[in-house]
Amino acid sequence: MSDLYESAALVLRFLFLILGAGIFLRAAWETAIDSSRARFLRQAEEKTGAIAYFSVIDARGRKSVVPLPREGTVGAQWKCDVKIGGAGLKKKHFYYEIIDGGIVITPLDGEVKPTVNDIMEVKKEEEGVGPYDKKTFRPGRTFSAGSAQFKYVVNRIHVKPVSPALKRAYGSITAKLLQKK
Amino acid sequence: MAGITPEVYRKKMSRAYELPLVYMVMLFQFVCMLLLAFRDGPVETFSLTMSVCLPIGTYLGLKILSRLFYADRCIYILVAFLCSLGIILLRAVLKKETDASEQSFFVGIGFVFMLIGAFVGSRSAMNEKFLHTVMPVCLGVMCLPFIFKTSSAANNWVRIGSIQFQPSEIMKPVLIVMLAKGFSDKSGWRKWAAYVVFSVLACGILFMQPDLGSLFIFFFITVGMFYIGTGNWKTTLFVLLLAAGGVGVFLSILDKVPAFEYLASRIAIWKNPWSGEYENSRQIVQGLISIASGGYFGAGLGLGSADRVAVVSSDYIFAALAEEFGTPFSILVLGVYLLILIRGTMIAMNARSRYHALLAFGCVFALTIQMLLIVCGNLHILPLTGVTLPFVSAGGSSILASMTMIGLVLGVSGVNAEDEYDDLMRISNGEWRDE
Repeated sequence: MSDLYESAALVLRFLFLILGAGIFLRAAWETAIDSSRARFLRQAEEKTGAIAYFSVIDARGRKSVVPLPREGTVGAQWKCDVKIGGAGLKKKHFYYEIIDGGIVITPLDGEVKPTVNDIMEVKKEEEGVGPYDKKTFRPGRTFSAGSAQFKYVVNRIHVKPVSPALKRAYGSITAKLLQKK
Repeated sequence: MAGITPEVYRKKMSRAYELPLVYMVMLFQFVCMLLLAFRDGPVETFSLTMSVCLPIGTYLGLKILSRLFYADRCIYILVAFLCSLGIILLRAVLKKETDASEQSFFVGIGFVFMLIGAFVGSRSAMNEKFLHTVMPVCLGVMCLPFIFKTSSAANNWVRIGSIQFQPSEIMKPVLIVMLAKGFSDKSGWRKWAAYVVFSVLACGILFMQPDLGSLFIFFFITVGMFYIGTGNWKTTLFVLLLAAGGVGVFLSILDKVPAFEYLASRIAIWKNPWSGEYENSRQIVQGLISIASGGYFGAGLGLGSADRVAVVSSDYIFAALAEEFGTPFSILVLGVYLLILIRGTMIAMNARSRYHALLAFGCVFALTIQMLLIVCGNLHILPLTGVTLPFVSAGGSSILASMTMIGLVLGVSGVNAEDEYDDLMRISNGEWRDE
């Protein structure tokens, strides 16, 4: 090991520390900006988070619109992701998940009855365990839960045009894949 | 509100946004490897080659990732920084180029695993029946160390011919995928039971090996994901108290069980490494001396003597880092891990499905727990558990598992970006898209 190497290694220690600090600070700055954007989007959930909604008609004939995140529990309890009062629902009535082309309903404490011919698919989880049968509904179909009628309506059309900004950001391959979707 | 304007978002979306960060990482890699190339007199080919290959590889990796996925590029760059730091340290400390070249090879393979992880992470949850079928196979793989024994004290390695790997490392991402699927189901214990039993059995196998480091990681992954997935704090608290009681009982009987003699000696060494009573205590003492001798600015790259510490390449890589680069730099590296945790948690919070949220959280949580275990072990805060410092320590299984986990996080970030794109179009009525 030469003296020149030792001198260079000792001097470059400071450069490494500066580079280390630079990498950390730049990444922290990017994280702060991304965090503020994510926080904004979460706050704007009323506009952005609901990708579909239930049109609910209760026993008295009152109509209301319930925006839906992508998945969650629906029931009368405050712990549920979507709380609907006055509709005769159980504490955790059912669990839903929005998928391409429909909504999958999994009854939990309560029962979900589809309107005749409106159901897309019934998938039995286990033979003989009725309440846990999953039911998939297409948009616009109705079902009853508790004393209310639910209509599933899609709020967002998943059209992904290939924009120049998207191409710049993520490259043409992903952009084309998105276009196919 | 300003953070959402089309102008600001377009700037964020452009590739130029991450360029300053990647350039700094590339400069760091180039200077370190170039310096090491001149350490031993004549120019050394491996380091000189790596001084070009590492920065180019990092940049190409970023390009490939950007073209394939909507991934969080900042996390990728930070991971590339940590991986290159591992290669640099191995070359600087061990003075044999084979360790660093092996590590470079595994980092390259790890990148492919990261892409596979990103693909899996961007898909929907796997079929439940498939996962249930895979469970016994996974448990069987974890039992392999009992059949293919190695000479190490902890029986957690498998050697088949010239190939040697650690099944528990490979099982980490698998466990996270399974638990994310299990705990994302709101149906309750009826659905969770299979996954909890699987995790308990996996922990039992690790206890029998005994591989306490991996056992802690598996346990905390399960408890952490259970709490985040179900919000059931009573059960979580009960399990934690039960585990604390179990650890207490285990420590009290440790000396009396011959099978755990190895663990008992490790804990005794940890309690008093300076006594000189145990031969292995030299590792802790040398490690602490190594950390202290780094000082504020380090001994200089390649000028340290961390090679005196036993198993420095995997167990004590943090001590080598502190000696070569100094304490402030080591703290900055810990800060990089913290940023990966924060970004991973942000990705989990932004995920629109419970499965993706749990997947991202589980991965960054596992990496953070692992990092804390090994750093605290090096600093003599906890007994050394034999786990590796993610991305930095030498070890093929560890690198592949860590890269797969970060790939899963990147996959989830890609799904989020698509949703975010939709959200922003809705807010701005397509205004930013068309410009």
